[in-house]
Amino acid sequence: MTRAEPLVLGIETSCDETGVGIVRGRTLLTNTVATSMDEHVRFGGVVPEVASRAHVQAIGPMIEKALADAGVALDDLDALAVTAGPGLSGALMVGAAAAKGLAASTGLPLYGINHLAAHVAVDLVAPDSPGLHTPTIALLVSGGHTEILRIGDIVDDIELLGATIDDAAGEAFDKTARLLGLDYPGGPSISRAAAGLLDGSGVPGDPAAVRFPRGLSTKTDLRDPERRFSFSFSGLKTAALRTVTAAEAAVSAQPTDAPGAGEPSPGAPRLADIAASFEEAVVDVLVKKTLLACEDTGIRHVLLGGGVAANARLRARLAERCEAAGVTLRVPPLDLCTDNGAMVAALGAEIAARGRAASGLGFGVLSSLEVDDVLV
Amino acid sequence: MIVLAIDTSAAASVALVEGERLVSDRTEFAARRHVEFVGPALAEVLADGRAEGLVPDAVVVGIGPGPFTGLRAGIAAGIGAALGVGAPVHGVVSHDALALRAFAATSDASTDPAAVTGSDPAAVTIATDARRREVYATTYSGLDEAGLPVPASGPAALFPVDLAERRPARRVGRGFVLYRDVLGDPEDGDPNALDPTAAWLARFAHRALSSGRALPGTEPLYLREPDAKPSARRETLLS
Repeated sequence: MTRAEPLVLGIETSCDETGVGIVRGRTLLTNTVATSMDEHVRFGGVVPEVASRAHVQAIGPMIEKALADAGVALDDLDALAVTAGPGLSGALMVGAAAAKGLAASTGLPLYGINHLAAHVAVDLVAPDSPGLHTPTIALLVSGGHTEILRIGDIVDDIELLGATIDDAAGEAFDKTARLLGLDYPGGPSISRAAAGLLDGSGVPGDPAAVRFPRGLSTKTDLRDPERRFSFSFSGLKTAALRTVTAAEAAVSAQPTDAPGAGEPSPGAPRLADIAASFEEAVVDVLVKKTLLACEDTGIRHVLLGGGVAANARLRARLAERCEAAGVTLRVPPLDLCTDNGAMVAALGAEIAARGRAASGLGFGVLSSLEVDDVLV
Repeated sequence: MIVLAIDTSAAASVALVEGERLVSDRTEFAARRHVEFVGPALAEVLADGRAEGLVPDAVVVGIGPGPFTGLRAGIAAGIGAALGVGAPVHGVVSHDALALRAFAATSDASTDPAAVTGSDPAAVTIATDARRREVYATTYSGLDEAGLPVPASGPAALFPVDLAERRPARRVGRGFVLYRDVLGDPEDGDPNALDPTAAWLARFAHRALSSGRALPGTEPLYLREPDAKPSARRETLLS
């Protein structure tokens, strides 16, 4: 099927968002999302089984809502697209199976597509976007992903430059927030704590108060092509644990009847300081390696995607460093940065417009689908 | 009534049934790749129906009990297919399908499922694989006036020894194969008698819907909570 402006419905269920989007070529018609985030709060992180249970309840109503919001009938559609990976396999299966049910019963072509590529492709349809700028470096950061990609072409030329070797950045935020007694999701909690909004002081924490490690950022690491663009947040997590434990020990060692008891002990970092320093350590390494990727590839454009794009400190620091380096930065609207169906529809529409063959109905989901497999 | 049925609670199975007559089906026993199976199976079965000019009036999905991940693949596919054909979607307890088949097999007119009505004296116990050394078990007392199996107990996740204590009369389902040393062999070793199939799910739905019964929604019968333990909120001494 080749049509200049194909009408495509996209389904995304790779993590805890049940997203259905509809696009006409490069025009976004609807981005309908149900999230099970609230159900994960008591676990302190996304529980795959809980997410999958929510998906199977939400998928039918979300498809119907998206069609209604867009004023589109199934008969009008030219194609369907669904995330085939990477992601949580049980969660991916719900979206893939629903998409196959729709495709088998309507005869519409179905494209099984790559979640990471879709995070970039979303800029094809972002209402405030002049279109997807290529080539670009993409920094994708979320609770499940931390990747630097080189994108020459959104369908045919995507290269993974580096990824996290352990936790995703968003996961590091979640775990450290928990350590600090803060709510899930951890990113926004840590940012509020860092801004001094949680202790009632309104005094921002000092990002230099604690010198947290920057994972895989030594000169040796940066010389090693395997590590140059890779991330590691497990050392940071351990350092946070040590810092918090030591600071708590210092607080509890204070005699309770001493003058000033209950006051922050002199020298012990405030919670705001630890949060700010932690956030700084994460942001620092993300920004540094993204700019390194620009330098190495000669690409003068960066696109930021994923849920952690909501982090104001990350956006500000990345903007600052990009500007200083003469690199343009693009951050799609936040509701298109977090997981959504519109990005899947956008990539599906682009692939369909190029006349590529559909995936058929027999494909499986792949929890660790490689990023250069844009279409399964 | 023309019913499209999908069950992935144990086998992976898709069928189109007109009344009690099987129009087309695809079933893979011991299926491990439910998502891969369900798309082509649906397309083929619907195409067979179209060749006869048959379009589903309803879509039904087996809601288990069964291993969750595979189970949801069939349910989600059914939800999608129902939207695609513009028909309502309902759930059917997967054990109901096996029970209906078992009662039909012992009736005098076993070749004609439509003739199976009335109560059968021998209760049927369905046991299917629940993993973790358990079985999902449901006992049915017989058929009601609409020819639908009447559940007497269950479904529940049980250890085989606990089910054995209840001395099931007629043993039906793969659970009796998996734990035959504790439970005894199933009465019928035909794969169609061991795993719920979409054809019998559709016949159950046809009987229920045409006699004005309401069917459950599409929410799976989990019978178990997710494994994850809620994490206690950590208190910090820092301010």
